[in-house]
Formats: sequence, structure tokens, C-alpha cells
Amino acid sequence: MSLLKGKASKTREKRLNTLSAYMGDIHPLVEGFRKETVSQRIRTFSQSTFDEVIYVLRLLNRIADAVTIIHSPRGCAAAQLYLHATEREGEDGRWAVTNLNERDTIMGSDAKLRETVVSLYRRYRPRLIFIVATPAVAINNDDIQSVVEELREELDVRIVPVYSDGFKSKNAVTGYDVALHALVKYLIVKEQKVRGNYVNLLSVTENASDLETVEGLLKELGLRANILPNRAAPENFVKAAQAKQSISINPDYSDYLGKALESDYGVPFVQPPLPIGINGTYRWLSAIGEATGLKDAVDDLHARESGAVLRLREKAALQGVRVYVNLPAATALGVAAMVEELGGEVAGVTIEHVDSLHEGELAALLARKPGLQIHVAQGQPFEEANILQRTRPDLYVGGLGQQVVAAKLGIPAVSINNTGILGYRGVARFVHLAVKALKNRAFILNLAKNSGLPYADGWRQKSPYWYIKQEVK
Amino acid sequence: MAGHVESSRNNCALIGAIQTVQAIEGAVPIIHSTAGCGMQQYLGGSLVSGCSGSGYSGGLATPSTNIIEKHVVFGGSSRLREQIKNTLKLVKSDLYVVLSGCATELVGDDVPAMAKEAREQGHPVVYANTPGFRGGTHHGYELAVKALIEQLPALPGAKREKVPGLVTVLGIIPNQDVFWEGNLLELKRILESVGAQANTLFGLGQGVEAWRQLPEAELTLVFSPWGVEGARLLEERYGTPWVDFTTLPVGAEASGFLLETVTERLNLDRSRTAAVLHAEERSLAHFLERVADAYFAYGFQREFALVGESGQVPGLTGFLVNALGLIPGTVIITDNPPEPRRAGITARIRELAPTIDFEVVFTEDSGRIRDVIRQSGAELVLGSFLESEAARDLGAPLVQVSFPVIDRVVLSRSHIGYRGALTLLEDLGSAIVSGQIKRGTAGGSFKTAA
Repeated sequence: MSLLKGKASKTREKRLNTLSAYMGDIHPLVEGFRKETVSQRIRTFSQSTFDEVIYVLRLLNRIADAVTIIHSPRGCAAAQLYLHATEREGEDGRWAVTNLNERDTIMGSDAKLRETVVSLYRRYRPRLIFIVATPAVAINNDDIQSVVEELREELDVRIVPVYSDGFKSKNAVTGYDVALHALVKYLIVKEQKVRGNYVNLLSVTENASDLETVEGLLKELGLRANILPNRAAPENFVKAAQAKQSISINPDYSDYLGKALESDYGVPFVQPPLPIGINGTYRWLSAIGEATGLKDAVDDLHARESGAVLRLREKAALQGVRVYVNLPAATALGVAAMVEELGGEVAGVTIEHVDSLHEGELAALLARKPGLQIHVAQGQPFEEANILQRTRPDLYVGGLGQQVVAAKLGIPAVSINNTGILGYRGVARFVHLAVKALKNRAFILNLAKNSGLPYADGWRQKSPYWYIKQEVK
Repeated sequence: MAGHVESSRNNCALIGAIQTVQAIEGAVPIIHSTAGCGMQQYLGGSLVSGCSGSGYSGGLATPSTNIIEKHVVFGGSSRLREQIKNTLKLVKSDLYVVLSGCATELVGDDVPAMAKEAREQGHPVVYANTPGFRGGTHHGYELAVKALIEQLPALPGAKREKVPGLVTVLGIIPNQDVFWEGNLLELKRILESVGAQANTLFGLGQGVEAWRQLPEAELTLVFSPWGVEGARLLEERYGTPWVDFTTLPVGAEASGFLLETVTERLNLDRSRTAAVLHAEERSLAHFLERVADAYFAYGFQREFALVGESGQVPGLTGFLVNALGLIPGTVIITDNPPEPRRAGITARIRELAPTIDFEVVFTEDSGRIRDVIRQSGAELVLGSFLESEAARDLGAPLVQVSFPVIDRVVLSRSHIGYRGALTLLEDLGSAIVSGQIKRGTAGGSFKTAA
């Protein structure tokens, strides 16, 4: 059945049974997804975290020659100051906020939206205009669609409404689905032509270094890549429908796009775990080789490229180092496997969300580390603080804003935000980061000595999942 | 009707209130809204304010109810009650401030009642209704300050009598003034040098106890339109008179005026103040002499465009024009000061350079700001990160003085008072000189007349 019916994608909870909170053994989780008996959890204490609106903005910032209109009071556009500066490579791309005030929330906001679209269109003549819906307009049920229909007749521009709301899903990752739903629905025109001699490389959040690495690997296999949505122009979406194959980089993030292209345009989709680590990269390439009939080329490439980093594996660069990993799910599971491959030990794993897409990887982790507990949380550093005080790892690998918790506990920490960790080359980069962090702990020790965490002393005695409860419908 | 805003630099009331509370040592906000609101503040309020971090319990650590669909449909008050109860158990704090966002205000949750329940159990919990649709960051600061002034006395431990020489500083908004902490420290330093004591309420060493001292101050000093409401409230409640300086002082003239005014109002030692002014002026003069050669060699005397808030712009203009001899081309004020105050602000800026013709524009729209700067043909741009493009188009150096500052780390540096004025001169001079050196146009300065 087409995913593209309806104005927005379903939430991840409805589509994949995604959980945003869990702490405990892996086994029941894997069983639960297999039998579709997992039940939703909530937190009775929670800390601020990303929502789908921010993920929508994050994704849209990567699309070229577009104007983004955030339909909301000014605050929902705040993150854009940061995202536009850090997520975008060029300086193009304008954004505006409709600046809803109290009166608009009572009287309706469609006139203001219309005025904003027309004004921005006249000023910049972009090829694309995105309209991003937010909690205030979703709650008031303000009409966006009729403004879009009307202006589509009037103006020579593609207008793409993105129906995020910020409260229907507990998982920010739903934001990528919502944005991709809109992009596929509004940018792909159905022209049934013959398949082109290229593959879709589905990249959502990869940084420039990672994208370059992955694109390079495909090139080595002789595959021409049509990359989307990262850095994509509208043509990339049109071309996507005629590609001979779609390949994910991050299988969590590109899931919706790959499946929509498969179900509506018949483009086969392969979504292996991320190319992280030597084995992981080979496995990713092999899945592509299988799908495209290039198995031999993959083996040649592996022999050629892995040589330089095999040395790191041989000398077990992370021998004896206990590493805690807190990253988006697919990345975390890949990094955990890479740590083991390099001789390190996985002290624990926190992943932003978990769902049926992770069944296989979780089962593999369970087989390698029986008894390992898994923590599912986006942010929620109070739980992290508790867990880290129990596990006392030697090294913490985390995402934006998460290292400080570990550091204040005196645990060396690294961020992989700005480092390319994908592919064979990524292994060396990751080892370099880890080794530096272990070599000089001065900053960490300084922070730990002088700055504390805000949690009550009794918290560490409680179980880290104290505030996670089964949701009562 | 407030229209759309391109690349808005003024966030919302909730964001303003969150960062206002977080700047008080030991105070913790409890956000009652959707999950993303706190992250919008972290990404769009802290990280873009000179790379400010999460501190004690900001960023991902900020307690937040993260309401979901069922709370939107059935109301979220009980979720808030649960969150307050658990925050009290889990997060150590001297003061909890419940802040509501758009979603919970639209739904109509009873935030005051939930805060009151906790207070009646003896917990230090206050609240402010701060939905984003009610205003920008500046209004959020006003609402948070008002909530604290009004509700803190209801907590145990409030008093008391006036302390001679104690003044309260209002109008500097944490993070929205990227240099807020350095600016407060410089104000504190210079006020103390003449025998006053400054209660700056935010930043290093300023905790809830500072807020309890509000009734003890003899005078409130207001440095932007956004401090006026708080000052009025303090006058009404504690009979504290206030002086509206309208803008932060930059350089000897404005700082001297501040110190002399305070000396007079508090009846401090006039000869001590005179000696302080003299010493500070000598120090400034000493460094101006040191930079004089570079001033001419690299051409510091430029026609400038200045983009900033009403609490900064007159002070900065005064120093640039009347101490450094720069030429104002365009002055843009971005914080939407109340309409009735605008004519006064404009007049104040114009009288700093009465013989020079230049425009004063009020707008927060970055597209319009870019147009105005480009048309001005400025040789130097002082503004925010958002002015990078316009400055580059003009080939003019950019000095980042206003929010947001994304690609610079700002910790304790200040652009006000005496020492801050020197830092500003260093930043401005460095931008001009490095622009010249990079472009290889500096060599001409070595030539003698043919």
C-alpha cells in the first residue's frame, strides 16, 4: 500500500512500534518486536529533547535553492539560527517565520501565511518553498492546504507543505518521515520512463566528510549516485523515481524515503546497517553488491581499501578500553560493533529510539554480549548520569550536548558530530579521536573537579529506569 | 499587524524566560510545553550566543513536560503536577520556575494552580505564563523578571531594610545580549569602584539570594526598555527609585555620566568618583595613544553601519563617533522597542552626531537589514553573524556586537564601560587590520610621498 496517502506520514510509533523510552534486557525487546507485542513507555520525569519540528528543519536545511517558511510564533524558528549555520554547506537558503501572535491564534493565520509566501517568493524567486507546520498551527487546525493550492496556481514555484506538529510522536525521527513524505509527494512527478543507469544514495544527515567517503565507495564500484535528500535539487527527486536501486546510508533515517520510492515507483530498496567499521563497511558494500550484481567488484574494493585500517584491527587499537556509546540507534549499533572489532569492550549503549528496524542488529549484539542492558532515550541526561555512575566506562561517545554529563563524572568523552566515521577511512578517524581523549584528560578532570551534576544525591541509588512507566492508554 | 520576519533574531517569550531563569545560579526552569521548546532555546538561544553551553541544568538537562497528543486533547495539568513533583525530588535547586509554552496555553492548562500547590507544600516554585505567541525574547525576560519580583516574597526568607549604596541592575537580557555576563561584570566593577554595590541578578555568583535582596536596594539602574517594567514594579513594591539610562554606557563619557549620576543619587563620595573617572580616562587615553598609528595606517576612520538593540546602539554610537571619530552611516535597531519610545531613541542617537546626516531604522527583518546595509555602502559593519553576507557584499569588515554570534566564543568579554570599550576597539581594530592584511592592501602605508 502507498505510504504517500494522507497529508503526513504516520508516526513512527504507529508505523514501526517505535519506543522512545526503555531500559533493560535486549531479549524481551527483540521478542516484542518480533511478535509485535511491545508496549509504549512514557516518562513521569523528563528533560527537554529534540522534536520532529527540529528534525524537519534539520533535513530541509540540506536542500538547495529553497526558501523555508516556519509557520509559527518566532520561537519555533530559533533553532534555524544554529541549523542554517551548521547544517548547510553553502550560504544560500533563506528562511522566515510567519510570526504568529495571540490574535492570529484566535482569528486564524492563513492570511499571514499567504502574505509571507508571496513576499518571499517575489523577493528571492526560489525554485522551492517549504511551509513547516508547528504545534500552534496544528492545535488550532489552521488551514495550510488551501493556501498552498491557491498560490500554486498564482506563483511559478513548487510549494511543499510539511505537516509536522511536535506532539503526536514521542520520537523526533518522525520528523524525517514527515519531511520526506512531503518531498516525495510534491517533488516527484510521475513520468514512467525507462530506468536510469544510476542508484539513489539516500543521505539524510551525513556530514560532508561522511558523504564524500560513501559516494567515493560507490564510485569505486562504478555506480553513479543520485544523492537525496542531502544537498539535493528538485531534479534529484524526479530522477529518484527512475533509479535502478535505492541504497540507504543510515537505514533509520532513510527508511521512509526508500520504502516510498519502492512502493510507489518500484525502485528496489536495500537498507543494510551503516558502513561503520571494517566488517560493517564490507557488509554494507556486500549488500549493495548483491543488489546490483557487483559482488566481485566489492571483494576487490574491500581488499584494496581495507588494507590501511586492518593494521588498527590487528594491533587492537582500543584494547581493554570500555566504551559507552550514546548515539542515534543505527549509528550506535555500528559504533558498538566497531569498538569490539578494535579490541575494545562495549560498556553500555544508549540509543535515541528503538523499533522493529533494529531487530537484527539487537539480536547480534545480544549474541555477542549476553546480559547487556540497553537504554533508549533521546537526551534524558539524568538517566545517563545514573547509568554512567554504575558502569564507569573509560570512554564515552555521544552526540551534541551529551558529552558534558560524562565529563562532569570524570569520564573522557568524544563527539563524532564533525568527524567522518563512515567507511574504511572512518575507522582511522575514530581511533584517532578516541586515542586523543584517552591521552590527555586534563579538561575532563578539571570539569569533574569543579562542576557538578544537578541531580539529588539519592538518585544514583535508584534504578535508572525509575521514571519510565508503561503507557496507560 | 506584526508581519513575517526573515531570519528572525528575536526568539519567543518562552525562550527569553528560559534563558533568564537559567542565568540565575541555582535556579531551574520547568518547561510545560512540547518536547522541542527547550531544544529551540538551546540551539537558537544558547549555542548561537557566543557558543554558550548548557551550564548547570540547561540544554538537554532542562526539566520539561514534553507533552504529547493526549495532553493536548485532555489537558496537561496533571502531567505538569507529576513533573513538578518529580523535579523537586530529582533536581537540586533553590528555585523552580514553571514556564508555559504555546501548546499548553492554547489548551488552557492551569499553570498557576500547579505552582501554587507545590508552594503550599513549602517548595520554592513560582511560574510565568510565557507562550511564544505573546511576544519575543525581550518580553520573556520582562515576564520572568516580573514573576520573580512578584512571587519571590511569597517564599519564606524574604525581608527587609535598605542597604546604603546598593543598586539593582535591570535591562540586560542573558544570551540575547551576547556579552551579558562580561557587561554585568564590568558594570559591577565600575560601580564598586565609586563605592556603590551592584546587584546584577544574573551570572557569576548571582543566585536566588540576589533576588531576595531586591527590596534592600536604594536605586534601580535601567539600561534598556526591557528593564523599565521591572523597575516600575520595584518602585511600586519597595519604593525604590529608578534611573533610566536607556542604553549601556560605552567609553569614558557615558561611563562617567553613569558613575556621576549614581554618586549623586546615592550621595557617595564625590572626590572619590572624580579620582576614579580620572584614572579610567587616563587608562583609556593611554591605549588610544598606542593604537593611533594603526588607526591611520589601516584607516579606522570609516563610515559604519551598526545593527543592534536599543539597549546597545546609543552607547555604541556615542563611543564610535565621539571617542573614535568614526562616521555613522546607518543605524538599525532590531529589538522592536515599544512605539512610544522610538522617537526618543532616535533623537538620542541623532544628538550624538548632530552635524552628520545618517539614518536610524527600526526593523527585525534580516532581509530588510541586508538591503539597508548594502545601500548604505558602509565601510565597516557592526552587527550580528546574520550581517556576514551584507558585510561581504560590501567588502567591509564585520565586528560582531549583537545577537546572534555563532562563530565566535564569548565568555567574559564585554563591550561596555571602560574596559569593554577597549575590548570593542580591539575587536574592531582586529577586523579592520586582518581584512587589510589578508587582501594585501596594507603595504601602501609604508610608502612616503613621492
